[in-house]
Amino acid sequence: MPDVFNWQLGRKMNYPYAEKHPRSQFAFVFNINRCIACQTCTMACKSTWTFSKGQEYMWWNNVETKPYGGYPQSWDVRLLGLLDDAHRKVGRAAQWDPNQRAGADRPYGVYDGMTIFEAARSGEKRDQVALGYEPTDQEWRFPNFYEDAATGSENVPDKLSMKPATLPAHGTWFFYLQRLCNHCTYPACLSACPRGAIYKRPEDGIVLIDQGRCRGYRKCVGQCPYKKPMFRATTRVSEKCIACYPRIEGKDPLTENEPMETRCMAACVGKIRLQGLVKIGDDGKWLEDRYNPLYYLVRVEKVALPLYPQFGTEPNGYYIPPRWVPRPYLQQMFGPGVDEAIEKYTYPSRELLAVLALFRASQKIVFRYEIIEGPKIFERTINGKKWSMYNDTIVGFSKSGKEIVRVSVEEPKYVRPDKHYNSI
Amino acid sequence: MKQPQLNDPHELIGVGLPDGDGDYMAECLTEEYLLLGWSDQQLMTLFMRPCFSMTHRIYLDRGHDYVAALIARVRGKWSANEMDGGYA
Repeated sequence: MPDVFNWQLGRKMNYPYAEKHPRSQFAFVFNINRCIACQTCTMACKSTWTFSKGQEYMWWNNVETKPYGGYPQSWDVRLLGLLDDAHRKVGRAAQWDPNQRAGADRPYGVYDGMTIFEAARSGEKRDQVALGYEPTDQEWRFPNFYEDAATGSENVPDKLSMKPATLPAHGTWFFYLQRLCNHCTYPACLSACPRGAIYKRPEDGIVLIDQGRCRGYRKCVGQCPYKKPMFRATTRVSEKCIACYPRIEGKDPLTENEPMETRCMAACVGKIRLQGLVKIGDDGKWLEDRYNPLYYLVRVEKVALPLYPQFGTEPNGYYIPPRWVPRPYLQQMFGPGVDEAIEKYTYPSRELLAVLALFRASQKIVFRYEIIEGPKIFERTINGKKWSMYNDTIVGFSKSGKEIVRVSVEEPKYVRPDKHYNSI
Repeated sequence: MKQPQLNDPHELIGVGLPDGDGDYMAECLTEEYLLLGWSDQQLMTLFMRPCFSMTHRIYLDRGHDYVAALIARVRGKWSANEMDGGYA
């Protein structure tokens, strides 16, 4: 099994295929702090891609309540348990060494434990390429089961019931985790497929299942640690998030050939999502692209972190961690970069504040931004730290270099008249 | 506090967890939306409506007065009129 370099782990690791990287990579940043689980993203995806017979249980995009929820149920608890067992069997500990942080190759230090690929090799039964399990029908069936209770209309059109939920309540901290396929650099689904039916597109790194080659063995379902490939019983093949690739290719007439963000991203009400493409070198490293907002958030400011990097697939979804959650929980979920990310988000720099204003400012993908400095509008001590805010203007440019968005840190506000149903 | 039962298929439902600061969680959520430009009334609606389970849970647990005071406190923290140095 060849060695490949995983920058999120700061080291080389085993992977069934030799390194071969796309020219650019589909990636996204979610700001968990702002999500209220309105599920608009979930329904945008559902109504676009998985509304047909046999797809009823499929939610390529889902939002689950952590630490309780999961779709499929307990997916991450199960995976972490399997990984723990594998470490225990060989007498190793799954630890990070943040002291080995160094530059772009090791921004979070070095992970000393086993990835899901290495753990699968360490076992006696080597029937898997990556450590995993196939969820039961029961586990797939109820997204958000016992997490949050929806509120109905009480048979009166356009009138919401204001009765509170009566399900068991979570008497503690919690937060919402938005999930879709991470279009990983080293996808476990791709490596697990005995048919070679899963491939990573060279132009944008999107991971797709060739529906013609797939025979529905479900190895991808069992071995993707994030549980995002799903089996469709009516066609007997597996399906997964396709990253709305016609939009990424700029095929939607609305954007005049400019790449457009996916349906789930563009629909986000809370302005928590930003998606784009990052440039990748032949060695798999992110090429310096200082004014690409994703490059800035992930590689420069390091405010957005990968989900369960210890699994080893180098996921391309990044999260700004929620400020209020106990750190050990967040460190398990996002790795050792959590403290730095939260510190930087809590007291955002002038540039970060401007880049945050780009979230959901346009449906078109922002490839580059420029900041026009504005006046200082705010200065005071926040939580014991002196902090200033500037009303800078950030300008976003499309792939072809056209200006697509211009927004200031202090946005002008338009109050929607209350005659509209969705005014609150 | 209910202890987790490993043979319970819903073992994580309604189980309290150690650590964490509910007041800080409420403050962070208020701050996020206040800084997006929401009015006090809009913020209160976010807590009162059961559709928004996270904020509504805080509303049910702590009550209307707590949320009103929270919004006022966070508004004061970020209000330009009350800042140390005033507008530059």
